[in-house]
Amino acid sequence: MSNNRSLLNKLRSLKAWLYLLPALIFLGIFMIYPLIDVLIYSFEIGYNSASQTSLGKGLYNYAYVLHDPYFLQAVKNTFIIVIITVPLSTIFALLISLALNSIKKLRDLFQTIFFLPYVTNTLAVGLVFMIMFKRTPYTDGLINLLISFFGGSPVDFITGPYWAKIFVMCFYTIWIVLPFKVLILTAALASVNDVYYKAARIDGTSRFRMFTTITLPMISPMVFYLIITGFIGAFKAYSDEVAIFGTNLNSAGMNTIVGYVYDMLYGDSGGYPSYASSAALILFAIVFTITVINLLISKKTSIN
Amino acid sequence: MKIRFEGLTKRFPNRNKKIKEDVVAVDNFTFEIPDGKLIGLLGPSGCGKSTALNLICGLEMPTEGKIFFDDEDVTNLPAENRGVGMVFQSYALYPHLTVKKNIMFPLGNLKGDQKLSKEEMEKKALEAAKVVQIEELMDRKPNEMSGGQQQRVAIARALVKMPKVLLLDEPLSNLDARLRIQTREEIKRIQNETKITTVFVTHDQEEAMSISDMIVVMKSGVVNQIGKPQEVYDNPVNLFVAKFLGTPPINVFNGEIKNGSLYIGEDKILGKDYVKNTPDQKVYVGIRPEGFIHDINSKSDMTLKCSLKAIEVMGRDTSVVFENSNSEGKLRAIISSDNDVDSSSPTVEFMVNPKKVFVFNKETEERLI
Ligand SMILES: Nc1ncnc2c1ncn2[C@@H]1O[C@H](COP(=O)(O)OP(=O)(O)OP(=O)(O)O)[C@@H](O)[C@H]1O
Ligand SMILES: [Mg+2]
Repeated sequence: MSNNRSLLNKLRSLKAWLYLLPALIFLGIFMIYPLIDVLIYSFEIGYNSASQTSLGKGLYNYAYVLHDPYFLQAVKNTFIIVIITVPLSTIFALLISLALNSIKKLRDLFQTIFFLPYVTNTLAVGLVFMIMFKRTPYTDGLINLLISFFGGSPVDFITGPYWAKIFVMCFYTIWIVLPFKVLILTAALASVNDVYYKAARIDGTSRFRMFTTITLPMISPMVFYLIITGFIGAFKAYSDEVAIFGTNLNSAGMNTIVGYVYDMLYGDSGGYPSYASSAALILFAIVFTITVINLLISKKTSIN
Repeated sequence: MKIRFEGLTKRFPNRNKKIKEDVVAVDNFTFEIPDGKLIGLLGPSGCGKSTALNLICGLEMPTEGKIFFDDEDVTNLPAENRGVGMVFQSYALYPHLTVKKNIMFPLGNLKGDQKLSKEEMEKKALEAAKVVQIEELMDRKPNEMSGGQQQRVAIARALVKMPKVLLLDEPLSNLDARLRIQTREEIKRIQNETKITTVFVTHDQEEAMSISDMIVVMKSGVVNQIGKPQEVYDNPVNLFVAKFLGTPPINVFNGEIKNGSLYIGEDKILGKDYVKNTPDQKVYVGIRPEGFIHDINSKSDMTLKCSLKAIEVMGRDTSVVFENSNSEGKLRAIISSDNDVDSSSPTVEFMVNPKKVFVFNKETEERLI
């Protein structure tokens, strides 16, 4: 009897593994194998992908990357983008969702409008940003016209000072990630049962206290989800930078870590898979650490 | 505190867009709820009970009419400032807060010189918890408690700020039969202890009858009758109220007043003493189950002849199930168990207790006798 049952269980789990097999094969080929490969490359000194030979093994690649000023610049840029855009975009998204949630008329229309950037191509949006911010011999660009109109002096946002470029970059990044966050948060807000607000109103609760003690805890799982994915997404920034500053990010001083990895592989100065691999693994270590910290915090503060 | 309504009316635009006519959820309420009493607001589903409560607490604003708390007009006072306590049908306990924090929540809203220190809040919360006997559960989260315990927490949260009015919207509907009876006694006890004017909504007439000092019977937004439970039961103003109160329900027959007597079919069941001067007409006759008298030795000529279907002995009482051609479906009489009904006989004859017989107008369904 018990033998029969254990046999049945075995069969059942065998079946489950069979169902998982196709997914496992694909994950193995396109994720696990490359990951291991990258790990190996990162320790092979002077690896040549054409001849598949290397000069030896060691930590030299890491040392090189960590001393490369382009890499350090990329790390700095990436961190600035992450630290500015993740909190700001989440806060903006929360404010917009709260506003959307409290209007009754035209809510669907506004929801659609706020979601539109999400379905527009990133590069197209980048182009529009460039046109708005770029100074050419013929025009100062829309933003600069506005600045001059209010009495300021024009700034070259695309090829000018570092802070101006970072400003455009963050502005753009926030703009791009906002719609998705708004969508998730409006859904989260709408899912909070109205009866809690009714009960709170009868007890004379202020709007602010309702938000901090009812709304926020109840949508906190979604907020944490957005923060964690926001961090990961921002650390992986690359295409947004290309959209605004072009492919030569190093000379613009606006490279990111992923951009550095790409350049090491395929850029004008490329052809160094070993350096690229160690840079990629350093990024992995950073993202992993931050995500673990995030998860720990969210577990501590979240409701069960 | 007294609550007084003057022509209170609430209309909602019809949810079915094709129908232009508004839904009148509360229709011209004009009555007074006395201070310190437990009032049962009773009626079938959709008759406007919840709407009436929402009007009292200020979550809904009336279309017309006024509400007074004692002599103060609170019609336009927002819910935040009315100071009522409310227990919702779904309890609405904050799921992420412990019982203690839930109960303390209303106290955290006090402002100015009413503001309490943390210790005072905890003390008051504990007092409220003691009233509903949940002081051992203070550190639990709502989802770690049974329905009955959650309901008590909800009551404690409503009581903690010592409201002048306590409103309960079908608070027992999520509980099983036994817990229901237990908790309704509890509510009665708490109300007795605190003397807070309490309005209790239910569609279960037994529940309302058993604990209310006064019941208000509603039908599609209109108050049909107000009074002490027993009075309303003994003296319904119309067929609806008669049918709504009582388990098992009242038996309704098509009858007629003829020559100064009351007839059901060919059977004369009550005479001149009962009918008095009511003019001859077709009527509905309602007879409470306990209004039937079975006595084989009686020589009375005023009996109702019915076909016997079943006899159910339930300890103290016997329930006789029968049919009559002047009424639809199964009818039921409750008689004392000492009374032998011959179960082999195809027919059964009853006399009736005139106090338990009500006669209603055939068109308006208003009470005639
Ligand atoms: N916000 C609203 N908009 C439109 N119609 C409403 C609204 N609220 C209630 N109604 C209608 O008003 C009537 C009374 O509703 P209410 O909720 O007060 O009934 P109830 O007596 O509490 O019923 P139940 O016992 O089922 O809870 C119903 O016909 C309902 O459809
Ligand atoms: Mg209701």
